[in-house]
Amino acid sequence: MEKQQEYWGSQPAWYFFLAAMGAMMFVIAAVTDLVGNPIAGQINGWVSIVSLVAAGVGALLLLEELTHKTKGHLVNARPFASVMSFGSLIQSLYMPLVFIYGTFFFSFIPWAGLGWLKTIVAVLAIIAALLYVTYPGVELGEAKGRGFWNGGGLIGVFLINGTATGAAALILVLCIFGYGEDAYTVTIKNVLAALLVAQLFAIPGYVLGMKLSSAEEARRGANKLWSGEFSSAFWGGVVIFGTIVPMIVSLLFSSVYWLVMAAVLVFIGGVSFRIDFLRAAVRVILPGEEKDEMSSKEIAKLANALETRWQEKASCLNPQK
Amino acid sequence: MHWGMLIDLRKCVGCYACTVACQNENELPFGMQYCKVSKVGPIGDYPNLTSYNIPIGCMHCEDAPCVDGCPTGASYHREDGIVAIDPDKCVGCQFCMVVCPYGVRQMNEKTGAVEKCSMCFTRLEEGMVTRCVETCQLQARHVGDLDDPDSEIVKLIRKNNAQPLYSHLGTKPSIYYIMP
Repeated sequence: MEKQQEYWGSQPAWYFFLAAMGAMMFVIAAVTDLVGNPIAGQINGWVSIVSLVAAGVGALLLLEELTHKTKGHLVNARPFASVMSFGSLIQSLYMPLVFIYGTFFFSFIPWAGLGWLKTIVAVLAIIAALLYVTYPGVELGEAKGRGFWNGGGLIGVFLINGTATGAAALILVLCIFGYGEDAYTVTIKNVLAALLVAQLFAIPGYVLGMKLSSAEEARRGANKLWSGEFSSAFWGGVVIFGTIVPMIVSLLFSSVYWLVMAAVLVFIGGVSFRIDFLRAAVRVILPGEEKDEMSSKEIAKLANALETRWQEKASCLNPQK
Repeated sequence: MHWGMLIDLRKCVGCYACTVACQNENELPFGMQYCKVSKVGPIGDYPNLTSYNIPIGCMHCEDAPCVDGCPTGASYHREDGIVAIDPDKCVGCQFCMVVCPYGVRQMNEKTGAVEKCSMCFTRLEEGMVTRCVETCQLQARHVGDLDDPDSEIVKLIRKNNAQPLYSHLGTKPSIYYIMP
């Protein structure tokens, strides 16, 4: 019986986390700019760069996971037929748009003063960013034999967590650039607290929904998080330290020290959430799989042991060779 | 033309001849199997117990999640209904392995490409049957055209009310089973 989803490890989870964090941080900052908040002029250039770096690092992690890295460009081959290709295409649009948007905030760039052009780029980049954050939920939902990912709320849960991590990242950027005590930072802190409240209901709610699902494999996956082998990571990492503690901190405290701590905890929760949701989605059990089977690693270990033993016997029987 | 297979679980004794023949045909490394045989049971309550063997390979689904999900087009449907893999296009993202509900796809560590049962399409093109069908001494396996209402496989499917595995998943498999 499959103990966990064993093909995709932590690298895709980190990619999903970095992509969502960077993109939603960008969305919040770009919306701040569109509504005319002057602080956008101070930070949005750097926010764009951080978003770009996060997306780039995430993409490199995914590329590293491929067995044929030099053929990575083929992932764009079917943009309107495969969700993964669509995501790759969106990433290819999102990253240059974010870069171009960021250039408007550096005075040495010739087009820095073209506000109308910046607005158009911002709107396009926001649309690309939102698609970039939501496509993993659609992608995972394609796995028909992994009921844990087939819940309609998965995209919403990903979006809420992505927005929370994006707000946390924005708070970090604001603190780094000396705006920790600014009124805008307080607003983002309150937004983060509200998002964490939503996350507190959304994530355990999704798992509970899957626990009560009619699909057996969805129940099995949910039980792994609710009370099974991943429960300590889920309740400790995602719910308590990733949601409740930063929520309380952001509601009760305003100092930079506490804000930074809350943001880091939200990051930990975000990474744990992606890793837990990826590994908990076990496959439907096939007839005969109820019995524990040897894993591929165990088979390889046994094969090596047999090969070694055969070599020993061969050298004993034919010492000349 | 739509190639399909029928496996009669009443006849399968779990000898693994199909598994080994498939490994030979495809020159698979140790530990890789395109056709696994699982032992089911004993199931039921005493004295009404039953036990059977079930060979499981690629189901060559009409609505295959692996084909829909493959970003490079490496997994594709042939015109004859077989789901095939172009190893030159496979980048090894393993998404097809994640989405396959039957867990039949495997990564070949030597080639770095995902592999699975190809229903021996080269043999079928040459007018032969698949290697597993040829090997099965108990004639538990049949291969044929699912689109031809007069083919032997379609008649057997109708006569025995054969069903695909987990049809509720909606992938429309081309492999049918006669349950014991």
